[in-house]
Parts: sequence; structure tokens; C-alpha cells
Amino acid sequence: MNLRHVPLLLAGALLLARSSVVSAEECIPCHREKTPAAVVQWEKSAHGKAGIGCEKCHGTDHDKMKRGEARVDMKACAPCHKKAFDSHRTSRHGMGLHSGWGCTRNMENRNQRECAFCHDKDSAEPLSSVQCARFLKQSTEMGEVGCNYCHSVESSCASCHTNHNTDLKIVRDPASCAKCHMGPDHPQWEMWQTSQHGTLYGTSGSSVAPDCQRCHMPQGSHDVSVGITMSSGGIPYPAEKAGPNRVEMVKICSQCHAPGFASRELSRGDAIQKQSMAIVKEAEKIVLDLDDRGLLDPMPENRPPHPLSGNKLVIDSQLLYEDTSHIERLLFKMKKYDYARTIKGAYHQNPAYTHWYGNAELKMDLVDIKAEASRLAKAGKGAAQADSSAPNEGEALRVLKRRLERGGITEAEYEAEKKKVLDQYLHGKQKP
Amino acid sequence: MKPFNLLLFLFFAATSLLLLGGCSTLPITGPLPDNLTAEKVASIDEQSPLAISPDSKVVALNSSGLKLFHLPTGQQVDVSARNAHRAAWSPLGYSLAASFTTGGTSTLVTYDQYGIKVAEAEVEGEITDLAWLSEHELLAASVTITTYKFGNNFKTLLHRWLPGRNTPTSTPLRDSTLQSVTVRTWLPLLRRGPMLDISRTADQILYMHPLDPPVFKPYYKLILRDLTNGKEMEIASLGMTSSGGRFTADSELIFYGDGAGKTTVYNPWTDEAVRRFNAAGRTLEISPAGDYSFVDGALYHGDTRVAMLAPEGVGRFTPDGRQLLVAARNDLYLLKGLQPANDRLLPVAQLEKLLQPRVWRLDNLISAKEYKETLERIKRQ
Repeated sequence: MNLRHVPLLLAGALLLARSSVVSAEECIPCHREKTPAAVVQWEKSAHGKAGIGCEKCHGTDHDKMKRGEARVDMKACAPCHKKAFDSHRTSRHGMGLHSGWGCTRNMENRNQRECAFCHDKDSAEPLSSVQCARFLKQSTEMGEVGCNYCHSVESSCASCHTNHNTDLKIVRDPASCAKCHMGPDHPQWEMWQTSQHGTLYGTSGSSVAPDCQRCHMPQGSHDVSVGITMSSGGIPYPAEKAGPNRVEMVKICSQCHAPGFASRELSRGDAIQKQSMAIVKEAEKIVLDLDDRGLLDPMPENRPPHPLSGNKLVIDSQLLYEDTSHIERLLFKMKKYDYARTIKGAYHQNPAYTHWYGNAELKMDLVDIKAEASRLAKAGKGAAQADSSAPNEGEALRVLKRRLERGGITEAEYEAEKKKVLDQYLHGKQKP
Repeated sequence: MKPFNLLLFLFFAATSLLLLGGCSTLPITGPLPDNLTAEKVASIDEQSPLAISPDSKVVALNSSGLKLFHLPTGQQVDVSARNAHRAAWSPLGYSLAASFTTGGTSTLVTYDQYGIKVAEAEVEGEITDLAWLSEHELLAASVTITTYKFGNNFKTLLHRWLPGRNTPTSTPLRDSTLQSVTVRTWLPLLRRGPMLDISRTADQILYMHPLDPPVFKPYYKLILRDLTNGKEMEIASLGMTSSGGRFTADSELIFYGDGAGKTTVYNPWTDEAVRRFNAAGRTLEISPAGDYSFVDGALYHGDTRVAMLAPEGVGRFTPDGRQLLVAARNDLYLLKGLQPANDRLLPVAQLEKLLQPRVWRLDNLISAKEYKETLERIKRQ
């Protein structure tokens, strides 16, 4: 080799070294200063001990890392942890995004950075096609912290395992579930903790009582949907899906209990679910009726449009807690908080959550909803009396039309009811 | 005088008398049926309003100023030295409203039944239509056409006014963008405004609104609007030369001409075309009972043309439906002897019972079939 070329080759090598990272050894000196926690955690982890360096997960493009585009998602873990990846993907956690995210591109004043929530770089293909109205109402920051910190579980192992630790002790502790499974909407962690299972666990340890993982991730499975017989919103699955799942759950319970006892306890939960759903349906009917009568305050057409449905009443799983009427806000609390607490409390054998935080609140919600409906009806009646151009039959016809439009009655029922209203108009008969 | 000269004189004298007598009848192009007579009753100015009082006796018209003309006696009372643009009598005939236009604004003036000025107000735009909603409230429509580089904004406003009690309140009726060529071509017709007609119960109006889509020819939409709730029903698409639609006195039927060759009698509530006849409807008036019509200068009875009266004339039926005033050039003629079929109209009690179902139809709460069934049941009651 001509010695004249040596400086040139050295310069080239230096340039290459600056633009790419090739091994953990090269990362550590800098990152021990810049991200010390990450380095310490990695060094103690199974990854660190096995010599699995930074580049295995983060890649080698340092510029990309600096731009924040080299976050480690599930695709980086999958090649080595295939079994866990596969079972996770088929579970409810694997569909976490489906209830949390949605496209914000058509909304005003959005941060372009949000695109990375759902899209790989330079890809128009969304990672999820399902949108969430509540997510779409949030600011970028609230969407990130308040929604995605939990719902990122779909694509990020670190959501439970944390970033650089691999210690199974972390993820086998029920506290790791508590980050998301707590609070007013689904306090499973609190329910478990204050149930007999949780009390025994607290006093005598995991050898005596089950934790979240024992029942919901049996034998280390990443399928957290094992044995679940209803959607996350508490709507029972069809029998063909619920039946086999129930068999699975009874098997899990039967590791400690007699199968008959387990079946009976779960059946009680089913009964409570049905009773609670009946209360929710009664409340929904009241709200729908108010919407039919144009009595919601404000009506959907007089408030900011629902991100997914526009100026229509929405009381399904896309129900909002903001930009809505007071009675819908009560319904939101009833469905999202109190119904969920009642039934989840029952399945977790927690008496206080089932009754006082759940059932009692649920029933008091209905009292509040009826009282608010009565107030709205009186206010509406006053307005109708003030407006002499709105006689009762016209109002009845309008209500029927709205019921038909939302699918509350069939075309034949609509025709029959209209006939009754016209009879009433012509002959003054009893109103339907 | 020699006998021949005397005969010649008598012949010319008789011919002159006949000719003079002929001037006092309409320029009829065909014979009038035996029961009809026509005579000239007054001289009027061109473009004069013709507002006939509810008792069918007094006509407000322009004849070197706005005047009240008493039909039975031929007496005239001066109302204003200015010619009015439009005029309308209140339902009971105690008040007359007239509009005067100067530049981009109009003045609304009301008078008592003797022509004494009562109240005055100014409104935006050129008043094109006047109608009374009640004995005390006036409805007016005005038009503004604003020219921009890209085209013209054609805007119609509705004004409601309680004369002597408040200032008029104005609400936009409609507006649209018209291409420059459209305005250049059709300006005289566009300035007629929405050609508003009001139902006798004063709860609904018929009006026209021009639309000028690219590529296609400009045209009018004929629209039925409920004044109490703003609900509208599109009745028809009409040519630019159409003069819009008219209600029958019970508002059950609407007459409209397409401006091209067909006039239609349409029931908007049952969505049925009752009949069609060959007439363009460039000028259109119907008698209160809807049995007679004055279309493009000709008198029709049903769909039969009775006589061509005045091709360029403007007609107004008297509220009793027995006479027709025709303004042709500078003359006002009175055609007598009409025999209105007032029994065709719905009795008042039935009409009142139908008002609500009509509102429901406009609101799409009942179908045409249900309205029809309701009408039949009301008739049987």
C-alpha cells in the first residue's frame, strides 16, 4: 500500500465512524453520561449479560436515533421473542391501539409529529384503521401522555417491560399492570388488591394467592384475553366465542378452586352484568328519547361536531365526555365508570367495587339522568308552549321521524305510529 | 250637401264612431264569449302597479303619480306625485302599501284607505314584491345585484314591517353568484325579483331564485317556503322568462309556467300535476278559485283558451274573481262577466284544518299519500 494513501483512508474511517454506530462499546462511553439510567439498566439486564448490544435493537443510524425515529417497537423484539410476540398479537393488548388512536390529519391545528403515532416513516399505511373519538378530541400532548402511554401496548413491549430492563420480576408484579388498569374507568388493580385474592397476596405472597398474571397470563402466556367473555366495554361476546372462553377461565380458577364453585362465581358475575346492562339501557333510552324530541341541551347540531360522527348523538363506545350535554356526560360516567366498575368488581370478587363504587353509583346515575330528563322535558315543554307553531302532533311526528332515522323503529312501525298521530289530529284520540 | 256627399259623410262619421268605440275595447284578437264584456276604464303609465282592494272596487295605479281609481265611478284620488314601483292592499283594505325605489334603496310607504300617508321606512335594495301578512304587518322582498370581477352577487332580502310601530327587520332570503353574461342578458327579468306570491293565510310564500351553474343555462328554481319555520320545498325548475308561480286562494294548488311553452297546475302537497296546458307563462295570473287564468295575454278557462286579450298585457283578477283588469300599453281595461267556480275552493274550516298537515309536508314529516288521505278525511268530516 502506498503510504501516501494512509491519511486518506484514516480520514475516511473516521468519517464512517462518526456517521454510524457499530457496537455497544462505542455507545457506552457517551451514553453513560447522556443516558446513564439506560446504560445501567442494560448492563444489569439479560440483554446486557448476553452481549446483545444497543445496535441490535436501535440499529446503527445515529442520526435517525437523534431525530427520535429509532424507537424500539415490537418488530425489533419479535425475531427473538416470537412466541411472546405471537400470543401478544392475538390478545386484547395486541389490539390496544384499536380503542385508543385515530387519524388527526383532517383536524385543525394538529402537530405533524402526531403522524408517527400511527404511521411508519414515509408510509401512508396506518397501523390501525380504527379511530377513537376521545383520542381525537385531545391535544397532541394529551394524546401522547393520556392515551398512548397505555395504548402503545399494541406495538411496544416496553409498555410493560420498560425500556432497558429485562428482569421478569418487574412484569410479574401486579404493580406493572397498575399503570393502566387503575383509576375510575377500569380499576382492576385496585379491585384485585382489595379483594380476598389481593389481601392474601399482600399478606402471604404469590404462593398462596393469585395475582393479575396468574389468571390473565397463565403459564407466562402473553395472551391477556384468555378466558374473557366480553369486550373491554362490557358487551358480552356471542355464545360461540364466550362459551369456550368461559371454559378456559373455569380451568384457570380450578387450579385453586372446585370447578363448580368457579362456575357459580362467574355466573353470578354474568347475572350482575345483565342487571347492570339493563340499567344502562334504560338510561340510553331516556337520552335517545330526549334527542328524538330535540330536548338535549345543547342538541348535537348546536355543538362542536363529534370527531367521527359529526353533528349526531353518539352513545356507543365512541361516547364523549366533552362538548356534550349534561345528561350525556352523566351517561358517560354511568357507562364508562360505574357500569365497568360494577361488572369488573363482580368478576374480581370485590364487594365494595361491585356494590358501592359500582352498583350504587350506577343506580344513582339513573336517578340523576331521570331528574335531568325531567328538567329538560319541562324546559322543552315551556319552549313549545311559547312557540304556538309547534303543536303536539307535529312534535310527535318529528320524534317518530328521528326514531326512524336512528333505527329505533322499523318503517312499518313508523307508518303505524304516524297514522295514530294523524288520527289524533283529526279526531282528538288518545296520543300514542 | 249633395246626397252622395251626405252619404259619404255619414259613412265616415259612422266608421269614425266605430273606430273610436273600438279604442275603448281591448286589442282582442278573437271574439269574446257572449257573457264577457271588455271596456277601457282608465289611462295608466307603463309598468304601473295594479293593486285591487279586497272589495274589488279600488285600484292603486300609476297615472302621472300614484292614484286610487274607483272602478264603479271612474273617480281618481291622488296619493303621491311619484309613481310607485309596487303596491298592495292589506287583507281588509284599510291600508295600502307602496314602494318607491331610488338607487340602491327603497322607500316603503303606507296609506290609509283614502290615500293619506301613515308611515314610511327605508329598506336595502330595490323592492320587487309587496304583500301584507296581516292587517298590520307588511312583507316586502328586495333585490340587490353587486358586480365583482368574477361575477355578480344576486341577493334577495325579505323585510317585515309593522308600519308606525317599528323599523323593518330584514333577513336574507337567498343569494347566488351569476355570471356577467347572465346579468347582461337577463337583467330586466332579474330585476323583477323573486316574483313572490303569498298564500291567503299568509303563512307560506312562493318565490323564484335564479341559479347560474357553469356550462348549463341559467334558470330559476320555484320554491315554496313556510314563513313560520323557514322550511322550503322546491316546486320546479323554470326558464328565465317564466313569471313564477301563483297560489289558488286556498293554497291547495300552484300555477306556474315554464317560460317555454307549458303551464302546469300542481298540487305541492300531494305532489301531483293536476293538469298542463300549452302556454309559456311569461306573464301569469290566476283567478282566486283557479278556474280562470291570464297567461301570456290570453284568458283561459281551465285549460281552454277563451280569448287572446293583450299579448303584452298585465292582468289582475279582482278578489271576487268576477272581473279581470288588463293593463295594455297605457290603457287599463276591465273585463267583466267571469263566473268564478268558488265552490272549487276548500271551505274555510277545512282549509284551517289543512294548514298544519301542510307544514308537516314541508317538514317531510308526512308523505304526499298521507296528506292526500288526510285531505279526503277532512273533506268527509
